Amino acid sequence: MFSARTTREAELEAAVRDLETRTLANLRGGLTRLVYLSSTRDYNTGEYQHDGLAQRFGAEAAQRALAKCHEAAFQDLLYSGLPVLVEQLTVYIDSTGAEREKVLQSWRQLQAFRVLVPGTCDDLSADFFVSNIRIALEVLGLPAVLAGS
Amino acid sequence: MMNFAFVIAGGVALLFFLWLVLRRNASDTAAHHDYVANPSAYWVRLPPRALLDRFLSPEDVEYAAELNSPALLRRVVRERRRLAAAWLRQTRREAGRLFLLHVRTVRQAEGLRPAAEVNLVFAAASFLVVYAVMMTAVGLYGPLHTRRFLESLQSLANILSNLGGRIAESIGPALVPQLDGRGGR
Repeated sequence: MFSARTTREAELEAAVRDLETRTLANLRGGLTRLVYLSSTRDYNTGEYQHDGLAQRFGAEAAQRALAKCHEAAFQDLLYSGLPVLVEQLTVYIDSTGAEREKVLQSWRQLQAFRVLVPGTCDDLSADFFVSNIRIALEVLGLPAVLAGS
Repeated sequence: MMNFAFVIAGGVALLFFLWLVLRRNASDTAAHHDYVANPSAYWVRLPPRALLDRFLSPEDVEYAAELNSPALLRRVVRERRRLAAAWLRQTRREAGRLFLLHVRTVRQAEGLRPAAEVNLVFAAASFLVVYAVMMTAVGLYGPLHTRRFLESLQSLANILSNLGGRIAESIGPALVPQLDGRGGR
């Protein structure tokens, strides 16, 4: 039983390393990585899906690796200061290639950032994250910041 | 006649002690069943201390102030005050729950340590006092949001967290997560 657990943990670690080096390392910025990781989650079931990772390490290890990386990316942003979050949001918006004002408007209206919160997150942390994103959106919408971009 | 009375009294005393032992065993079994039936009640769910540090971050307020937008600064301060108050309420609720759980458990425990219980009651009373002071101070966070004020609040939060940790340890040190870390759920 002990060795089965050790094997599972080793598989998970290998899957996490693979995900980090092959995929996440190519994404610029913590928020971009968070958006990517949350997009691998099925919103109906809450389960993560990644065909390539599942093929290499099995469905369970892939699922756990994605969940683990998602939580880590979320925690990193949650405990970052407001200036860092604003910078990350700028990097993410630039990476979309869309017009900044359009993305800001869409994020404010649709509040798509709510789906970035991992399922295991407590209410207070989720509330703080959403509050910070809203403030960061407001910062980027300030005339002085917009003019400087 | 006298001997017969002694025998009767001895028998009654023996029956009484037997009843006490059986009652205590039944209580212990009930407590054990409580734990087995609902082990999650024994999990400590104090909100992470590091989260409150983020709510009271002077750097964030200074950053918002530098942007020269009074509306934005007001919003940052209002949001952080709301979140800090929510953290405090959640901490108080959880500390209260743990204290009551301890009282319930200790009622059925064999090795009661009065000194430890007095310490715990003192910790709980101090917790309530610090909580009340912090709630008032957080209410002032708005008109007053200097770095010094926020650092004083963080010092109080340290005291509150330590007291909360002492209450949490009363239900079993092994169950207490790292209270200072991010994973203090």
